[in-house]
Amino acid sequence: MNSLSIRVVLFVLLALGSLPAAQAADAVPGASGLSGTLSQYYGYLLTADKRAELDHVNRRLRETEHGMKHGETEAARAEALRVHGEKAAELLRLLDGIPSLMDVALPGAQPKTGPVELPGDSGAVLFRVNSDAGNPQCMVSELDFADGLNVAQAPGIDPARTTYVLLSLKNVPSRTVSIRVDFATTDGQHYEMPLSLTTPAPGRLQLSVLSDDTGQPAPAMVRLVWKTNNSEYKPRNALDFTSELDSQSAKSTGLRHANLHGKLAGNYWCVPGPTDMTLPPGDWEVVIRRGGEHVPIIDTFTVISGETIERSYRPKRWVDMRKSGWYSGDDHVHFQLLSDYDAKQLMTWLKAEDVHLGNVLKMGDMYRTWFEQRGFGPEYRVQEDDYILVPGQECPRTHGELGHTISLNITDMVRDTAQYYQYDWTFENVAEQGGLSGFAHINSGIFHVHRGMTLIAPEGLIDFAEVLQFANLGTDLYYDFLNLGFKITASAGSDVPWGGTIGEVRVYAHTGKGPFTADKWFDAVERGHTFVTNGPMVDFRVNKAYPGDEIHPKEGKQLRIRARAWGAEGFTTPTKLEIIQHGEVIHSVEADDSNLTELEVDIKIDPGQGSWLAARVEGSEGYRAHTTPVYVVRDSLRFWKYDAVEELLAKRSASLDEIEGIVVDALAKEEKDQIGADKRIEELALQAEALRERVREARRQYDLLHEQYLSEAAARE
Amino acid sequence: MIRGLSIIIFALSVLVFPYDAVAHQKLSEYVQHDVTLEAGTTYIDLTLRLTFFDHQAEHQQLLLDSNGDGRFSSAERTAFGKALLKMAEKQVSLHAEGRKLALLPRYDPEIRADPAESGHFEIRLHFFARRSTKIDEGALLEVRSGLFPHIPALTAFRVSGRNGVRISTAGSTHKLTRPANASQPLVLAARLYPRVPQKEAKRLPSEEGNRKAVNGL
Repeated sequence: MNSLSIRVVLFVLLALGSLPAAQAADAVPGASGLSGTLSQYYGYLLTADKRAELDHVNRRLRETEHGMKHGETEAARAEALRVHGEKAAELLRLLDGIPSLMDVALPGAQPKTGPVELPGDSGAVLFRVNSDAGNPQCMVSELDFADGLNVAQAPGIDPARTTYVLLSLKNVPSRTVSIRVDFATTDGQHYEMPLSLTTPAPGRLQLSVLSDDTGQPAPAMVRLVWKTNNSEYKPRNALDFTSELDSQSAKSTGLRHANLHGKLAGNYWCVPGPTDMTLPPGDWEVVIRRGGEHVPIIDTFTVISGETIERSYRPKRWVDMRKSGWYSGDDHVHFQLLSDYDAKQLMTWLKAEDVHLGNVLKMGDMYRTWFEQRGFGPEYRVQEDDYILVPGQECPRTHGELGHTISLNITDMVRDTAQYYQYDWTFENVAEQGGLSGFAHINSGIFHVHRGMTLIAPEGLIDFAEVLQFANLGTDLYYDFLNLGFKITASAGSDVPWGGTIGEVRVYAHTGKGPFTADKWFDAVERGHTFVTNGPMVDFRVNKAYPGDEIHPKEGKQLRIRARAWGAEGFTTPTKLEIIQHGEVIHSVEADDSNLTELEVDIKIDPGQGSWLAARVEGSEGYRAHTTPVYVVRDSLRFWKYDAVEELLAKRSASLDEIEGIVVDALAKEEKDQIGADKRIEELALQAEALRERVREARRQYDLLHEQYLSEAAARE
Repeated sequence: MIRGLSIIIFALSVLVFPYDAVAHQKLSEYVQHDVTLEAGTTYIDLTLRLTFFDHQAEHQQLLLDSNGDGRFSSAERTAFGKALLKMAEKQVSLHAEGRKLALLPRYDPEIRADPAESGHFEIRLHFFARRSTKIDEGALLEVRSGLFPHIPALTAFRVSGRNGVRISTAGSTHKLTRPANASQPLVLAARLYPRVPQKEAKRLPSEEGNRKAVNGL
């Protein structure tokens, strides 16, 4: 223990004896702030073995600070203070051991001879001001060259204390730069110290990613992390999507924060092909993804100043779903498609994520539209190899009323604000075009989507529901409608740019044998031959039926249920495979060995009086998959959850009450002339009668279901 | 004194004058909570990345730029961060089997904002809690966040384990959204699973293939 550390401990011991713990909390003011910044960004200043120690010290400093303030007893607070002093002393020992530590004696602030070498365009300098003063304090200061300044401020230097100043430097110009550090003391003095900084000559990285199918360079999603301070660097040729994402939201750039779990979560850039770029020297981590069917690569390499490093990666397919006729899609991509350039941008992203069908949605609300398209229909599809972009729409979208809808594979945009709340009008028009319609954001239930679904479901117009989005599977609302005997296909969409990246959730459709086409994919979705996933794959059959199929078992025959879930070892392995009937788990297998990459179920059950059956997969961390159900139908009976029908009908009735409520509110505002410029309410009032008629019709349909419920009673006894 | 005052003004602004809170919700009017829970054997780390869109971002920028000079100074960022932490102390919590854990800041808050980009505002809050021996394998962990209660919230929840700890998201995802002015916080659940015995790292066949690809070029 050096003399300074001894002084810290002595100070704490004296404080313990003379002050209540809370008053003595600032034994080493600023210690935790400095330890946190150092640990988070500038661990490179310490040797590797000291970094883990620093992380521990940082946590303990913060724990003991909390204990000093909130300890339940005086003794507990005093103990926290004692440990805090120890940890502060440990921190100071770590700081004193930093080879580049720079001593500054005030007054004077002598210039350091020779420049300070930074590891790259960011780094830090640690000063120890007045090392003989004792009673240490710590502070963090920052100089960001992007702000156009060249003076670093170090205010609050107490001449009676030793002060450790961690100067954080960002966006440092290359090679040599001169700055001044202004040490301002608490007694009003300023001491300026000139300081030269140098950054090393960069190294050069030549990076390429190869397709496992062709061995040729292919687009990929790439993250490059400089391990020196854990900062992320943009690959030089990374795509920028700002204009195609219509400048919507803070997330409309090429930097995509993937909603994935575990070590795959985080930022990625879409890199179209080989890149050649300069980088600061040091250790680097690269993460490369090519969608859910490839094993991601996490690798490290070292860039040496003035030298070139070549890295070529070939992410291996762990599964090729195409071989069994399953093709991936994303039902919810927002992207402007007005030119061949736009199409190329999006096609590159689609290929980087290895999603075979991207539904590119023009988005609208009552006021306007976004993400314009050149047109709709087969002639406006874009296809390269077996990757296809198909324009569609997310409209109508009402946020406070009926929820967001999606229509896929349309030949013309269906939009009429004078009929905006009549979702059935949109869905019917889309169906006439041969398109498919469904509801977005079912997994989270936002935007009152339960109301829109309640209104439309009895008309049989809902083709699909988004049950997986933003890394989360949500099935409560979905199950409610399935349990009332409505067939709805499970779907998934990323909702970029609000989501992270295309295909972070995906819907697989079984298109069968032969060349992949968009028409086959939509036909499979229409038939419900889908499952959704953000990682593990799942195969599910009841007898020979695929998800979405309806089967009519013969009397006395059992159903054979086979399911298989599998994933990429170390990333998306399944931990649980469940068979769901009417929303309840009827069979479950769990992995007792984390090295298992596959789970299987093969059981027989009595078909009972009909039901829906699906497979659900839990993967490691938050990875999930879920199939569309197989519908088991007995003669003259609906496949619904009979025991829950009255409760489920009551929910739907309550949703219809809500719709009537918003209509009443709109009319009341109209009556009182309170609508103003709110087109949303204005149209709701104008369309009040039409919407009420639809509510009445929905009630009639639900009444009919209730009659069927009563009439089935005898057959079910 | 000025800094203290600005913290109070900030807190009042957020609590009392929410921007366009309820009337016309759309996705860009949500604050997106990207919540990451990383469980180890000694500590559980929690990171909240809050992204504000469009005019909500502009509103936060106005609050950050407390002296109105069009720049976000280090002092303004620090004051903003302190005010956030104060709010988070009351509004963010971590529970194990219903028992509240002491959640402490691991690093200072990060404010990612650029005056030149009015539609972009991002806050990162880093916390940790000590994983006591009472937190068994199989325990249910819950993150509760009531931050920015007057802005509707939409959540992406990610979990990961380290040192062989296994964890997975759990519970109903309907709690992943929170309307404006809701009385209940966001509740995000994850479950710990029996730990994997640490073995010598096994190289994936694909990694070998990748290395061959590297070496072959």
